Amino acid sequence: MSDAILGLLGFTAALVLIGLGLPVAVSMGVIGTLGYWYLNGWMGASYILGSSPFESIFPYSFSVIPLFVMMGVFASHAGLSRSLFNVINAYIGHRKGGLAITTVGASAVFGAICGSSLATVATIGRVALPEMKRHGYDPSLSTATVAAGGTLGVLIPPSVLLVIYGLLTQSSIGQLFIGALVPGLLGAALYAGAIMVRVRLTPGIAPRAERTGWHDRLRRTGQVWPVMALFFVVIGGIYLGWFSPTEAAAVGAVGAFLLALFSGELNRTTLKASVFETTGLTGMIFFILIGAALFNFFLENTGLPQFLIEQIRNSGLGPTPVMILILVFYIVLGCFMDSMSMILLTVPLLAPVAVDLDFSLVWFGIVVVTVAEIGLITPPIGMNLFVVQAAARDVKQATVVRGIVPFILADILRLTLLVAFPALVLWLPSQAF
Amino acid sequence: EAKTKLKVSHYLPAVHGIHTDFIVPWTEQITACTGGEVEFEIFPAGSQLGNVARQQEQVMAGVVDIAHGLHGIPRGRFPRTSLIDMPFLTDDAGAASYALWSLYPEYLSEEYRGLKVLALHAHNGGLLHTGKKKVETIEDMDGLRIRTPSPAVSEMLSFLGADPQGLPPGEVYESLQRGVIDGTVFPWDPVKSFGLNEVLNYHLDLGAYTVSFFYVMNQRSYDRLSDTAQACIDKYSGADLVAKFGDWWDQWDAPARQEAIDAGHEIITLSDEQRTRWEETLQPMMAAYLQSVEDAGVDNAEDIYKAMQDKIREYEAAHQE
Amino acid sequence: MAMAGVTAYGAAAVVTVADVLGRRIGLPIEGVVDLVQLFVVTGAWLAMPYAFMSAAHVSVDFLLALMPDSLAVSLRLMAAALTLSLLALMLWQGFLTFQTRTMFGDKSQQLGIPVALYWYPLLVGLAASMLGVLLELHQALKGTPDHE
Ligand code: NA
Ligand code: NA
Repeated sequence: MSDAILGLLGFTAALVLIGLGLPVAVSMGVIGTLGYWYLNGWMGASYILGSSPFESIFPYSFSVIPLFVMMGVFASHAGLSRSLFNVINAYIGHRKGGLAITTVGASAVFGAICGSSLATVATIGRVALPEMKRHGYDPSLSTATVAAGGTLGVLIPPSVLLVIYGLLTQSSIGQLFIGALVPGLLGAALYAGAIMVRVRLTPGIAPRAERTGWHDRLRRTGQVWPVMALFFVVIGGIYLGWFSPTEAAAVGAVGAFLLALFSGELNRTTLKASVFETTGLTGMIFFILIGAALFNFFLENTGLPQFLIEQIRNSGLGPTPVMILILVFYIVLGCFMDSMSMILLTVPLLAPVAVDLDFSLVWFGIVVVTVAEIGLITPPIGMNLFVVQAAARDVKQATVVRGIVPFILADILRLTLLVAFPALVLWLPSQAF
Repeated sequence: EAKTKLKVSHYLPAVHGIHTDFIVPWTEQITACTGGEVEFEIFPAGSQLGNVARQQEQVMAGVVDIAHGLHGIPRGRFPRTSLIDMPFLTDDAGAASYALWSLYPEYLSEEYRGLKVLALHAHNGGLLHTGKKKVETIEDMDGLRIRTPSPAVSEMLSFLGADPQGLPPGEVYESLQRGVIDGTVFPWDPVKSFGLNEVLNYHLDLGAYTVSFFYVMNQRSYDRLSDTAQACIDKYSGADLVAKFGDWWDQWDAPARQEAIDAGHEIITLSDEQRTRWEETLQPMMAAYLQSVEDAGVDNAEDIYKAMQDKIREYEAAHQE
Repeated sequence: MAMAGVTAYGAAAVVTVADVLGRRIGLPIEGVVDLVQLFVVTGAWLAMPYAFMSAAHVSVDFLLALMPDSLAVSLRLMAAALTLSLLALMLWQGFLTFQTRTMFGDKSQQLGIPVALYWYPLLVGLAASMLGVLLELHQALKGTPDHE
């Protein structure tokens, strides 16, 4: 039996286990271990079992996950995020789907800073879901908005993925950053559009709030200045070079804790709730990373990704069909792999294909990073969907999946536009350099 | 004839010269030499087997058959070999690689038990690259935040008054752009592969330090091979392979240097007088560092260091142009 | 244990902020990356058992909801058994890896913190996680099988 077929079998087996209700992390971990055992003997399996639990948590760059989660949890339990949402709601809540659109904007900004889809979903979800619930939003809209919103920030600079793509393909990181701006903002705009269309079709899912008078708006704005200040320190500090994005997570966490402390909302009950929520969320995310690592050891050993790329290369198709094949390939791969591993593993193999076909490497990079993120919200298996569900335990999976469809359509529209009009990516860099 | 598939892992991206010029052609040579009996599968950065800190462990455990890695990560596993990291020993990859290979049988071999060493090498002398602040003298170093690759370099930077920062190479670009760090210590090659010329302006050619690499095979994997295959591996490894690294590193460094020149950057070379001053200033630090290695259980650290100096002089004498 | 985990995260945040502030006045925290990694690893592993205990781990439940209760219960048992096996294997092999790395005398990159300190929380966390799985299973079987 060819190893690539074994990879496909393993992929299917993991899907079956997940379908039977096993935890995603356990399904990937078990299949990954068994597969690696079959291919490399017990010695190989023993090595990955012994090292993955350590290596999946150890890297410094992962420290953003618990820190941003803590920031979100404290901000939320101390009522900080609630007052922030109240303010935004005062301005646009009377419009259709206003809170959901606000969530998209907040995710884009936050994700731009922290660079991790999962952490963005965990943080924004903690803040936005209770507020949308309180305002009577349908859970299918609120959870899907948070899950989809998490994918936006990765394209907006600073972007670790684009830096890595740039160094893999020897293309200019500056050009990639500038080129990513329009597609990143386009993504946010299309998500907002998807929300508006959905709300227009079924107005019941997002009740309008009453219009707030200007007097009230200004009064409420005055109340949230500490939160706004924290937000500006965290974002502004990165752009001004006070600290790196990783360090910003720590600044945010400490800041949120202090604000919560001084606001007087931090008592024994809220502190306890904050602690349990932080541990539950981070434990879950880290265990998924461990399961995914075990599975990826197996998947990469089968050579399935390389096999598929070879098929694409040798297909003899023209540029557009090849590009469509590549996009489909990434969406499928995105079921199991995080975008970072996907980029590192596949770009060295695919970049030569892109060059063969006369694609601009800057354009190709933006498209590849965009599509790698879509895998995170496509059912049946999308990490963002799982994370948002963990934050909204009372919402059924099917509800989240139903709500995500318009956002996937928006993403497909965005990809189509980027493929049809490369100028959307390339015009801005051509002006800047 | 039964085919054998060997796994090779390393921690560099598949576009790096180590992958494209060294490892891939090397595996192709072996495959050709064995008439297709031995084939290879390569796992670079980004693969699960591409973790820089795990290369030695993987090959010892036999999870891969061959690994290429850094001696310094995790630190302390190759205290003898890592003496080549000492400041101002040499700025020439060829000389450093030659010294390592010459010392291997007598002084270093006990660090490689269970492994068949295919090659040892080290990169060309590293530079101090800075963004906005130009560095020419020791005094210019005061208070600068500099990214550092190894404990020896960290100690050197602290000793000179700078503030060393441990950062993953992938975060250097952003940190420089935002001014979180003022500069980085690197050879030329990663300056291009990480796109750093976009955010740098000055390059001080210190030639102050090097960093060394191993290319090793699991001994059991080697013993399992047929006589033909073993002969082929032997033929393309060892001294002949090690001798190629001087030119290879020059070749890998050249594009980054050219890119900096084209971008109008200033490349500063230390005058002999300045260089002597730097070396003298660092003497106490080097003595203390050698002592700490001896304290850690390498009784003959001093001898190894001297032998390295001798071999480097020998190489330099033979390669005078 | 959950509290200790969050305290460790808090320590990671505090040393980072101290470094950010300290380096502006020339007093950076030496080896801050090593410390943050130590605190985050500690926090993550102390948090892990709680994630199992509260069934925070994500799974796809829409097929499960359609099944008869008896089948759903046996699937739950299978899930718990597989989770326990995976955790047990990780604990066993993790312990061997821990032994190897301490035998090498591995130290953190900047400060030279012994690597064992990074491993104790992992081993404790894995063992406690197995307990967490059992507790959660007990709760789930005592209550309604569909306890959401
Ligand atoms: Na970003
Ligand atoms: Na998916």
